[in-house]
Amino acid sequence: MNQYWDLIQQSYQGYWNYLISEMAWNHPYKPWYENYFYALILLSVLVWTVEIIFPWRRNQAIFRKRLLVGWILYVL
Amino acid sequence: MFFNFFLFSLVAYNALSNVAVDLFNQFLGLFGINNLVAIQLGSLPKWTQLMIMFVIADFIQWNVHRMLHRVSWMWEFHKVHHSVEQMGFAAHLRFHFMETIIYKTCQYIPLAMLGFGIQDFFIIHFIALLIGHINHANLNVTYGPFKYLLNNPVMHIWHHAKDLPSEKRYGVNFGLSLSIWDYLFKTDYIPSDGRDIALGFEKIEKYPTGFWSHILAPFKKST
Repeated sequence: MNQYWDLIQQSYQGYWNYLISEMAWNHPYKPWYENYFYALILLSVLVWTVEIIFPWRRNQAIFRKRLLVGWILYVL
Repeated sequence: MFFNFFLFSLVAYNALSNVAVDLFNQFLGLFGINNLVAIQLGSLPKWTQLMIMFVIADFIQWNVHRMLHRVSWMWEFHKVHHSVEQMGFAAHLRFHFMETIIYKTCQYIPLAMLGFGIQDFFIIHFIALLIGHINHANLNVTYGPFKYLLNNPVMHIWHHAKDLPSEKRYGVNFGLSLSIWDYLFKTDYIPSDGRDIALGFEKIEKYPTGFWSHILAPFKKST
């Protein structure tokens, strides 16, 4: 049983370090551009920009209906 | 993003799948087997491995997605995603945390057992994110003939349609990154230009609008 306890602990510890290194953009073990955290933010900003410039439905507000819930869930 | 994308996806999943895979391998070890699949996936070129992984993962997700629509307690959780009434990129990552648990359990553990690690996922994951973001965006994009292969906003808006014919009441266009599964299994449905169709589900007018009520609603409904 102990080996699983250790495995779980290592997984959490390892992941905590991973998350911190992503947000600090400091991960020497992989190339600088393989940063999920900032890549996702960049991707969202890009897609949103294209949506604003070339909208399909023109009468839809940039800040959509039920936006707050959507964005809270996005951040979560 | 923080919980669904990072904290759960890699923290809880990482711990859970490490344990599950270890248990599974020990179980196989009892019979003297050390690899489940006939093809040694690890010996294939990296790009081939990534492609196989992408296709298998997407097919598993397509099936999980159908299940979310079909099983009534799961649908209550998936309704949080379907409460968008106007499409936009952020709708892609708008879902209840229970969905994360269902998807990851159904997807990553089997993939890990097949011998895929979580290394080198970056490109695959990023392509899936890009396609998913575009699918939910307010864009008129179909990729021409590739629409039969790749999911797109013009197809996916029908997945979010409020009103569907009764024989299609369990949903249409379940594709995530790939649309090919819907064309293969005849769950595709684009009857007309969906630009101005009503989105959501039956009685969405009565669905709560606050954040906490979105989180709690499925638990109330399913008990």
